[in-house]
Amino acid sequence: MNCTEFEIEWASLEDSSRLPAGMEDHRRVCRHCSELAEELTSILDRARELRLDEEPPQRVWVAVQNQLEREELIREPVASNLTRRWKAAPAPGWLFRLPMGLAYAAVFFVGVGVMYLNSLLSGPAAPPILVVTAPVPEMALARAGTAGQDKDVEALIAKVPEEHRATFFSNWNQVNSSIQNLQTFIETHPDDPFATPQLRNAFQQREYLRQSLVGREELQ
Amino acid sequence: MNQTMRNEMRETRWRTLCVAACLCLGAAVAAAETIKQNFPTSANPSFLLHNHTGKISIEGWDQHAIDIQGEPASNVMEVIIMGGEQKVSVQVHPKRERFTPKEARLDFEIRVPRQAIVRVDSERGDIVVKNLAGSVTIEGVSTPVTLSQMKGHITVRTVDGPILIQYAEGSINADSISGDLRFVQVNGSELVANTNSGAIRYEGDFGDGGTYVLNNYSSPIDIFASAKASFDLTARAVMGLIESSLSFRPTPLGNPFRRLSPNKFLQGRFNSGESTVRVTSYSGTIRVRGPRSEAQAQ
Repeated sequence: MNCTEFEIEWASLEDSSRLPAGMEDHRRVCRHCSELAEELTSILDRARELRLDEEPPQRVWVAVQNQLEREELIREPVASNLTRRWKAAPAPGWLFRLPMGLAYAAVFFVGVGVMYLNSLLSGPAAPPILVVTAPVPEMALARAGTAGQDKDVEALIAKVPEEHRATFFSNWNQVNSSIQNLQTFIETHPDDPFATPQLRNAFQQREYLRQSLVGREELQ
Repeated sequence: MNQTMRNEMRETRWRTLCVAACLCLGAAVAAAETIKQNFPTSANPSFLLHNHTGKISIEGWDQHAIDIQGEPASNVMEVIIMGGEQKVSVQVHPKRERFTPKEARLDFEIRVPRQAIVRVDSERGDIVVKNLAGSVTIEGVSTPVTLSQMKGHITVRTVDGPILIQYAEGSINADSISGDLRFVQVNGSELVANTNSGAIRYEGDFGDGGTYVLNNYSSPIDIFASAKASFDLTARAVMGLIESSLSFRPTPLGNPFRRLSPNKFLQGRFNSGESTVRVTSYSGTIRVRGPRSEAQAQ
């Protein structure tokens, strides 16, 4: 065995305290390899004695890295622009949490499947809930346009014979009051699907009153 | 002037007054003359009536004819009747600008073929319609409307007149602004009832696998479901409350409003859930109960 073979086999040793016969024979006759083995064994022993809380500060590792770079033993890898951007991402850790997310999703879909099968087995499916979402912007426009209409309608109410005037007037005020309250409610509770149809009904009632008044005038 | 001449003048005045009174009475009788008209028609003619004030009674019969009888209270109203095989219309308009409701009163009793298409507009006075299978549209102001034994498509609208529909099938739309809505044994493909401040009451089976929508802004909504009723209920009291004495089973479909307490949002199935019932009130109380007891009926 020569020195080169000794170094190669040393690197592959699991326990350097007990050398194979061939290496032990070479160490005895070769002073260089004997000193190398002694130094490396000493370093390993000291390293085992180091505790975790005695880990050197970060600046030591930076200094080691700089030294290795100066000696061109290591080199900064050439990163592509994409990789740089990837590294600059604010939370790259999500990728490592992806498997857990997929697991949660799988459990969710299994749950949905169980509920679906349960609904099939427990009788006829319930009919869809009658929630109709009305176009709210239309309502908003109607609110903007009420001022002019109010004056027209009030003028029409004034022409109604006395015995019906109070009826139209009170119902007109009542519908407008409900519209205002519903609009305020919807603005503060936009997710309530039941209030919007109510508002639509109130607008229809308002329109019915207006049309009734216009129709009366046309007949007279 | 002697006594004889005075007596003659007095007698002449008296005769003149008597003649004038007779003439006025005759004119009044002529003006308030009963209206009687009969038009042979097809099996399903259109009948249109626009009245001002007065009771209107329309009933379906098995003859292919429209029979009209009217009782005017005065000669203030002008009545224009036009008839044909497919369409008969009655229009009542005031002859002058100022008149009292009493003067404007004109009561009608009308018979139409059962399949007739009927449209009635009136401002004041009861409207009673029964035993029809055709399409019926009624619009009124302060007119109490009662519909019975109906099978066709019904649309009723009033401003403050109450609406009662009983023993009816088919598709029904009932709207009022401040009038109460009441339904007794209404079973059809669709019932949509809306009122702003009126109360709503439903008593019956919610039959025919139909869709029933009851909405108001304020005032109570009372439901008396029969023991054989079968429906899925979704009830929402936005600012008011829900009171239920019926037991509902949970439906498979979820709703984000389930998190609300049952006195704000109630969803469930009664019996096998054949019909769909949706009840919404903004500030009124929604009460859902079993069959109406005698005490409640009072």
